[in-house]
Amino acid sequence: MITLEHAYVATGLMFAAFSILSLRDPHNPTRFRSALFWGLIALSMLFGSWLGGLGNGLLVIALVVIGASGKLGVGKPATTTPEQRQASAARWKNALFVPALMVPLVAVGGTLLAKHTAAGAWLISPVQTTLISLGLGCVIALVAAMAWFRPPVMAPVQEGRRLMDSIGWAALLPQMLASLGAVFLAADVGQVVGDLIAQVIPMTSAFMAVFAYCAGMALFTIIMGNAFAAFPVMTAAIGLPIVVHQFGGDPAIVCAIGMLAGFCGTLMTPMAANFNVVPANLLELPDRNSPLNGVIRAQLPTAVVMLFANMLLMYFLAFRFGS
Amino acid sequence: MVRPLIAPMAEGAAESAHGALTDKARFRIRGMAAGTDNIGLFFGEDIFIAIGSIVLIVGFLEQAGIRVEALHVSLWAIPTAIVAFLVHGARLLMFDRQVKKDMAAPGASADAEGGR
Repeated sequence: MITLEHAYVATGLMFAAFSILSLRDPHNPTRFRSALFWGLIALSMLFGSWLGGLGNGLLVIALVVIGASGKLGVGKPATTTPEQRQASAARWKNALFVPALMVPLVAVGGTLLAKHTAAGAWLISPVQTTLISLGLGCVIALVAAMAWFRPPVMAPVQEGRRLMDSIGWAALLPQMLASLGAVFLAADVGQVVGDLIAQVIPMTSAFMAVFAYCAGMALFTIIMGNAFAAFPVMTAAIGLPIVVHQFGGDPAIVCAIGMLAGFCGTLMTPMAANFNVVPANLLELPDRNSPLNGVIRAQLPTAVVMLFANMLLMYFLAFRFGS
Repeated sequence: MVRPLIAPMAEGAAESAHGALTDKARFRIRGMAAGTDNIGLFFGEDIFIAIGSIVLIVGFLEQAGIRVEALHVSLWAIPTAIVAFLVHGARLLMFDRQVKKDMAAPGASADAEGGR
């Protein structure tokens, strides 16, 4: 049976390859730091289950130290030339999209098969089926693309490394913030923040709790510039203890819509520079340096309407439907 | 996405419909193009499972002892995506009319001083 552990092993091997290739790339100005960074991620993916809480914690701190000690360099992976790519595009045309489309198809198809057929349930573990199917989809699409288009053998890892180098440590943000949320829960930070918010908004009914959670997500996101950072704090403070546990909301629905309420905040804030300030600069808007530039002003009405829409959706869906 | 693709297309469409654009109209169209790109991305991306926010939600809940399927979380992002499509789509239709009205106003052309 394929379990999530197998997906971790596949991902770990990929990061291990990034690490080795970075180490051997003289064009990467920070080759040793990059190799160490991707290598530590590979270590946690491959052996995380054996490292224990303390080992993984030290590993995460090491990652943060490496990430904070300066920008990671971008390597120069040896892959195909632009001419080769044009020739390949002219030859295969839209068929090039087929492997990319296979990934979501296998991910959703695999999930449904595992839930509803005996063969699927035998093949794929019932725990985190979607993520396993997603990994399976990536592997199948990779094999298909390799057999079909015959790129250089090292192309997948080299192109993957190019992508990872350009994203940098931000690629780890979701995982890091999920563990930050776990620390908040363990340290009862949620309780403290929740008490503070309760002084402003009395959460005496399900609707008031939903209102406080969504408004808190949006406000905190406006300050932090990132809904991912607001999510663990607000969900530990209000989402889980009050909306889910006290009033009985469905956790999947509450979190999904809560995150989207946070995105409304992202649309309103100049702190979300990569979404709201960078495009204003690229488009040479005359008010690009004002805190309420043309991009944010264009987004503001939709963001406000969507914030209230999310509150209503959460209120009407989370207490009625669920797993 | 917005700089090479959406903004030039929107500007081109407006120019072919209303003639040369005033600077004000041009920058408003660019701002709306960037905003629409963001709104489509934000409220659309969670429908797909392999996205950071879904991984964060699933990971956070697992730490809290609640097990949810990624597919289940992304399913509940669909209602918001539909509402966002309707809300922003309606706003874009109104925006089109606004641009048309601005451009039809006397003195509104690329050379006119009033455009700024």
